[in-house]
Amino acid sequence: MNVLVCCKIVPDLDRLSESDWLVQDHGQIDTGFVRTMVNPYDETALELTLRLADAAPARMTTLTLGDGQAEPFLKTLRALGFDPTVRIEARGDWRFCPDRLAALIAAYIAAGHPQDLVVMGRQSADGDNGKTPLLLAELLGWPCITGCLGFEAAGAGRLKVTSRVDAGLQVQVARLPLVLAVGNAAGSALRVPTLKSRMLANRQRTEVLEPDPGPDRPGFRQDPVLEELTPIRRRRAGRIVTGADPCALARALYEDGLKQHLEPR
Amino acid sequence: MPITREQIVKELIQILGKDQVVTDEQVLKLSSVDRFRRYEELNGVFMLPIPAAVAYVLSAEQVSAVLKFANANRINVVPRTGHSATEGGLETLAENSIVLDGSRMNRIVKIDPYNMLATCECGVPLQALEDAVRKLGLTTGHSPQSKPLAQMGGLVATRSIGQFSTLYGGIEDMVVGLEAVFPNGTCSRIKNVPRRAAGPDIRHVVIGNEGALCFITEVTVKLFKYQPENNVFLGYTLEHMGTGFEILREVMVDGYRPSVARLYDPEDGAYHFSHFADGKCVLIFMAEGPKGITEATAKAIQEIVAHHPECRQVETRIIQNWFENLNWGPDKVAEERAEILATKNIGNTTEISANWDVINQIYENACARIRAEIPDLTLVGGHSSHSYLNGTNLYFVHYYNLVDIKPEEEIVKYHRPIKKIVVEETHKLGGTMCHHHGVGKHRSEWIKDEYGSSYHMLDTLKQSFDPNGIMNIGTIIPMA
Repeated sequence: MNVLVCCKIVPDLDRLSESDWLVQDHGQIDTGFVRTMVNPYDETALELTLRLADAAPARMTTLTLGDGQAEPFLKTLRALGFDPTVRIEARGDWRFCPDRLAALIAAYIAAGHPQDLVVMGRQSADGDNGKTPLLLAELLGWPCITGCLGFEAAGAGRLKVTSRVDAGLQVQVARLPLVLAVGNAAGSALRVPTLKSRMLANRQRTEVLEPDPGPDRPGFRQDPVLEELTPIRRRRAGRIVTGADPCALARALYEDGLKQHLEPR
Repeated sequence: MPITREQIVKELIQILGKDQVVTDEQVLKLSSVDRFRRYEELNGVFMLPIPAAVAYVLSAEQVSAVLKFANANRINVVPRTGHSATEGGLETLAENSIVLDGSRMNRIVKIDPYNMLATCECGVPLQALEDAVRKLGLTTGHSPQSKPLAQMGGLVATRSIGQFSTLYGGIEDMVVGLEAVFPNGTCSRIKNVPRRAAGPDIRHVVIGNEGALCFITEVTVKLFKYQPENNVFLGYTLEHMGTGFEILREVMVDGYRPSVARLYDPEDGAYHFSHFADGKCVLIFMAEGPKGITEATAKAIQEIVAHHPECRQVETRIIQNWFENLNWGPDKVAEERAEILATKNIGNTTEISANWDVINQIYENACARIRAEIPDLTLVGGHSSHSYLNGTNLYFVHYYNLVDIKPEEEIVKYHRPIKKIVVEETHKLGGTMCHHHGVGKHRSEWIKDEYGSSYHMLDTLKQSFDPNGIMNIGTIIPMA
């Protein structure tokens, strides 16, 4: 099975303080000074794919759109077994161009890199569009399962996929090819390669491709300028719990607050 | 005949009252370990004897009463406050131990901004004290990564150090006076004076005793003016650790005292600074204090670094952002636990120090041996984070995948062999095996090598203050 995992290297926005959220002169929020990481949903997509490959043979390719900052992460992914690692050289700001991004991925597949399965996080931390997997599926003419929490081989050309839906969890057996948009799966942190496998991975290089600009579309704007930023204040009502002793306090806290969240509905 | 577990609990309740004696099984299990055995704990495996009770004390008098009872009945007592120890110092090695917990003694007794002193009970979290003095424009100057978790008694007992130590010093430079209770029930108070020459400095019997001599009930520490508006941050990438050590040495020897002076090797640097390290070493400075001093310090550091052409300066804001995300609170601990379980990958550290002429050799020798001898490694590296006129520390960082082991085998297969290599390579070149985490129970086997002929003094202290050997058995001095 050929599996393509699309991932993105993003700034760790948790490391920005409120005062860092400023519109700079160039119409952007400067995040260049915070550390970078694999987009968390994509990290889950990578780990779930590795688990698939643990159980059944799979050729895993990873594809990212980015600059040289992605290289240390791609080296890690090579050490984990992704081969090849492919980077499309990014120029400009692609955060808000899910249609162009989907077109790039589709073009890569069409250019002699056939896949049975494409897996990616449902959205990125910085662009936050939540559209790329759906748009890609449309371009490829493949089905797309969203909210994916896990998947495993289910016989030739089929995949058993667990996903979150409004009513709870859904398990379905789907025919390949398929696009999976991975959601918030617990316990799916990316495994860590050993020093030895990292050294072996040093012998290979990332395949760096130039982006195919594709046809211009009316209204398309690759480098949006941020003009204004308004913080959204989310406040929750608080209540002071009272009780005569620690036991009574704990009971009141449980009965009035926690019980409704902990007990099955 | 030794007193039974039930009798111990009964007597503790008699002394302290029912509300201060906890015998819940889960609490007792968690109280038998500290962070050293966190992989076992995460998997619900508890291999050590489970203590008889956790006894929460509220005053020095109560500490005295419990210690007298334990001393009379030869019961092991493990003192603790914040429960954030990393070297097994809180492990209960003896059957039916009492974990003596001072975390409810959490009153800030006095903040004296005129004499620049703060007095607090042992269970005051450092973060709480720091927050309180910041309101007065002051700081303790003490900022270990564990600041949100650790409490004052434990910090003094383990001879803690903070991230700004190059300016403010370690906790031993900050403690002015203290109160401690010894196994025979004697409560000793050392008064608060700027300096005295009335015999040996007996504060050092208590500071760093790791609960093996006494229980610390109160400490008084120095305060400093807090002037963050004058902070200057500097950061560089460079090719070689040797160059970095040389720059640190020049800064210290030339008489400058930045509050932060850190050097990361490429492995550790890639872990913390993925966005700019680019496979190189990383050197970081922060100058703190009055404006004239910070400006002069930063200027001097820049001049020193300029003599080393391999250094490339990085944007100041990168360093500032790193600085703002330093500390470990409960959120990061929870995150780490989830990651360990998901990835079966765990990291630990071993901190040593040595003089300038050998530090780079120790770094190279230890890293080379760890890489050659330990399986399943995912990261071996380190950083220097506390520098002195004569030398610096090294904080070895080691991560490994847990392969084909039961939880209780993690220490045997990986952690102890790594520690052994670091200790051996450090001792070989005359360094110390413990820079700031304390000896705990997992480096006590090398304590005689560490002390050499001065072990006589350590042993005599133990025999004199704790003749019945009830204080934290196995900590600093190994179990017989």
